[in-house]
Amino acid sequence: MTLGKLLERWAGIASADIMSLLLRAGDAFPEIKPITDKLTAALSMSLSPENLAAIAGILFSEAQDVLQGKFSGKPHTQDL
Amino acid sequence: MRAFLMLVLALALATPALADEIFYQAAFGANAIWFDNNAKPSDVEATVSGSASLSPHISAVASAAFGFDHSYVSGAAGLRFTVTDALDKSFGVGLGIERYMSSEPALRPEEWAPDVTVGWAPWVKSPRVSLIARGAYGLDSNLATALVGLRYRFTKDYVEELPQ
Repeated sequence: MTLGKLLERWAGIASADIMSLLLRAGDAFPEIKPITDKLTAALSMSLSPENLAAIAGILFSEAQDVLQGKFSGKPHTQDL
Repeated sequence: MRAFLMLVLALALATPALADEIFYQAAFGANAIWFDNNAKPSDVEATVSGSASLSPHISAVASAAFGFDHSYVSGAAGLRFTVTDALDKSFGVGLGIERYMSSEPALRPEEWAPDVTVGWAPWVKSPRVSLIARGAYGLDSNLATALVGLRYRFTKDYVEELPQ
């Protein structure tokens, strides 16, 4: 299984509930619906097969560097 | 799965010796968490979480949580891959897999679970504060988990920037 296919599989099985969560939150609280709609759209785009296929190549290259002890971390992340 | 475990172990062992090019972050926060179809009880958790950014898109992550309603302690450790712009300081989507551990396995299963996490720092004046939402799927229990949370990053701000 290629890295891209593996990411697609993970995204598929783990994203359904988070999408549902955002949709339900937007329905329950109309005042935040524009925000939840934007987040849902951003999530859909990020998890699209096209984006995952593109990112898989980058990840493969970075994983090779990491395994060789070449680290180049980013100073900020929000997905804690 | 064995190869993945070896990868996580190798990264953990390599991390202290090569700390100069790894960016660490830690945060405390709170979660609301529930399982699909109420298969396990929902709860409100206090959390401590941390990450070690190994490359622009690869981070080792770990967290611990205490569930207030059911008095459990749980922990998780694994890898997360950022699938959005790594230079975006305010928004990120990560795909990952973590090993979950628990003081109460009947309430919080101990298993591997792939996840999707959205992190968003909506307040420009409070860049240390972010909102997160995470969906995970337990590979042994076949249960989906959803959580929403708030994080406050208490580690220092880095001034270094990645090359364009």
